[in-house]
Amino acid sequence: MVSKREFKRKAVLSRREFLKLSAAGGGSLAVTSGLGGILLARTAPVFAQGDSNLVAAVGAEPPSLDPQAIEQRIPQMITWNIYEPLIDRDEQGLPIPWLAESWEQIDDTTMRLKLREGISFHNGEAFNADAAVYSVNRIVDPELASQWIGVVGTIKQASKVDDMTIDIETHDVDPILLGRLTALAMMAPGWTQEVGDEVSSTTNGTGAYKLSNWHRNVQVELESNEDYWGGAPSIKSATIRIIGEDSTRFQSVKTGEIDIYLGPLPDHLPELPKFEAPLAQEFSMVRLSNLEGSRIGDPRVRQAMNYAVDKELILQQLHAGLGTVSPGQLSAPGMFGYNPNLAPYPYDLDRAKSLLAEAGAEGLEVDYVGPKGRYAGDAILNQAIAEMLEQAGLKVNLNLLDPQSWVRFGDRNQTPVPPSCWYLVHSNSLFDADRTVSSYYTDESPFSAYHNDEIRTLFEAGRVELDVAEREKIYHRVFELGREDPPAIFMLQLVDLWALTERTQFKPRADGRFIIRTMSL
Amino acid sequence: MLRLLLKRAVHSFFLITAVVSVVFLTTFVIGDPVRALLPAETPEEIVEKYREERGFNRPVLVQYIDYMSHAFVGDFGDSWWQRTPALPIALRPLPATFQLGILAMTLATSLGIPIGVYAGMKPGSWADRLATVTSLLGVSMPLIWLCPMLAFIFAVTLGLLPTAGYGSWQHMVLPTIALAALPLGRIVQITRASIIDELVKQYVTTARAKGLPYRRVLVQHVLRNALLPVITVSGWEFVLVVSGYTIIVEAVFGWPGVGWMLFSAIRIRDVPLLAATAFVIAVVVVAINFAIDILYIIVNPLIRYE
Repeated sequence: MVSKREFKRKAVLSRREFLKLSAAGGGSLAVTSGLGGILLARTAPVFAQGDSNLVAAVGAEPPSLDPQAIEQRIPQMITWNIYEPLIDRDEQGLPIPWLAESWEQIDDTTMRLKLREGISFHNGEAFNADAAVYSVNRIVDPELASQWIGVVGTIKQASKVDDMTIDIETHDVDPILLGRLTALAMMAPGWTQEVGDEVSSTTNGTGAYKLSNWHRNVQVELESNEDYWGGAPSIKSATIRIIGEDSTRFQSVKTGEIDIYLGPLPDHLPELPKFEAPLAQEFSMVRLSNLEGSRIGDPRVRQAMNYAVDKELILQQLHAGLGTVSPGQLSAPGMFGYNPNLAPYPYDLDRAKSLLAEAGAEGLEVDYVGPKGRYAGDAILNQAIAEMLEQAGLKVNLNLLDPQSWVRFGDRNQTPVPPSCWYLVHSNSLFDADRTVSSYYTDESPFSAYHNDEIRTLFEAGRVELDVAEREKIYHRVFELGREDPPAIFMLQLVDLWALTERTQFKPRADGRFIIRTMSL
Repeated sequence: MLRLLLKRAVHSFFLITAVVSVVFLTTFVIGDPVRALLPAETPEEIVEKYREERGFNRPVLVQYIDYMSHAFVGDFGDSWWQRTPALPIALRPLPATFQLGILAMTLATSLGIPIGVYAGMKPGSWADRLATVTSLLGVSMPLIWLCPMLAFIFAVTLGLLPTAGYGSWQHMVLPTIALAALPLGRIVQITRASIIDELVKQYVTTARAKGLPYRRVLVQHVLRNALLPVITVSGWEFVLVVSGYTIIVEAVFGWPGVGWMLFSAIRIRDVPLLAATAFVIAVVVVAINFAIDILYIIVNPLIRYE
């Protein structure tokens, strides 16, 4: 009998046998790689970038390319290059003529627009009053269930006046109709009706780019419209790639595989080849409640809370210095109604303490609900704010919740007595104070927790005031009153962050739209 | 054989039903799907309207029965995100995942088995130690670290390969390596252990004593027996590759597969798409297990499955 030890000594695969085994392994490996190569041969390599091809990356596949159905950032990065609105915005965010040349208000609820001549859709269909009327009526048709309805819902209908003139009728007086029209993409009636459901995967606009290919889950490819009415664009083609991971987008922009993406993490900034950080109409705030049941109904307490928080420190430490301290209002230059005469609440702990003493609110217990995982770094940010409030002498019951539960606490329909403090970021895509005031300076929306008689009266007057200067005065006053009787701790105005390669020339717009025709390589 | 197939089919049916039920419970019952779907500031009337339109105001049991009866015919409803039927969207990325998964498993087995056999035949040798250490490394490196590291070294620093994407053979290299690392490590370990176990068994001694050439003993007897656990582990690893590891690997390398789809569906809170994707993955897992069972019978006729 062979002993175990002896056996082991003998039980060695000869070198030849080992080589055979490995060769078999290597062979099958070669076969699979060959197979893989063949499977993939039908698509071209994409990691070498051409001189006139711009590559952008987005985090998810667009759900649809119907510009009127979906109001989401990612599809809009594609659709606003293909489709165009009647009214556009300039770099500061002010409305400018686009597919409509001029407009006039003909009565309280009707606006007459004159359309630009000689423009046609990519398929050759002419852009005229029929197309404009069709597009306006399509977006407000309940059948479409458009996500834009919150923006354009005040529009009742459009009607044709002559070949190049239309009337748009609103349900009520609407002082900010022009701003709303920037959200309304023009579509070709003949084509749209013909393609039916395909409207979500094919395109036909008047814009500087056409869809050339949509490789599902991989990328969307655009090519320039050489007959564009504003002149052919300098970038001849663009690829919008879908890359889900932050760190991968970051690495891809470093290697030059992609030229631009939205929203790099602050940690990545120092290593980016280039970045742009324009201020957006986005405001971080701690909503304060003065409704019935609130412990902080006294305006002095809410003022004290504004003095107690060191906004500048939070800006530098937690937002990488990107943004600016809100000027004592939930508004900023570029928003209609912004009051330039107001200053931010300075950080003044003594003042905060004395105000609390005056109000007899030392050691007052307040509920604070903040999100965890809704905004970048939100947990630590809310802890910092709560800590600062405690230093002023309040007792803060901090509750950091998952985004869904957090939302419930902000909604008065679900939480009838709102928490004293509720952190959120408010974004105003209409560039008009009405949107912000109705949401957070009155109890109009279930997401507000504030009421002030004087502001309420002003707000209602502002809604129906068509005189621009008069309206502006109204909001100036609203923000002034709001600074003294604060509906929030006014935190920061935030930025839109874009990562870029060296070669990419990009000037971000105030409204955050990604318009390739204005870029160059 | 037929009885086995039938039994398995019934098994699979219950398994898939359970998966779909769990998805229903977690997404439709716990948490408010309508609130998750709509923007925070949506007025209550619109929320109510959605709830009614989508039938979320009905009793849970009614919703469940309705949901399951549709699910059985492959109807998971329209994706909230793309507004078209969810199942076709969930099926679309399947080939890309298989492409990557099969490639990674081929790499892992074609390298792992020979290395494991060699190490198992010379336990304690330097080659064995090297194999053990390397396989341990493969098993213990977390993917969430390994993937960005591979991209950093080979794409960013060396510039040899693209960081992410789909479309050429270069794009396949890094995700394949990342996906193969874990299974490779496990296959080396299990093969090695299994060979060591078999080599000391009586039948090997008997065969050798009868004068059978060593090579024949190894290839025809030892290997055949030793490979049984290897098949189990490989099959299990393949299941993990296709249904688990790919979630990270595909997200990091921008690979348009099922894992990425699952990741997206969760992120955008698209409940029907999530349910459809979970269903697709469950079916894939069941199918692979089925294949493994059949492979067992072929490799080892002793197994009869009574």
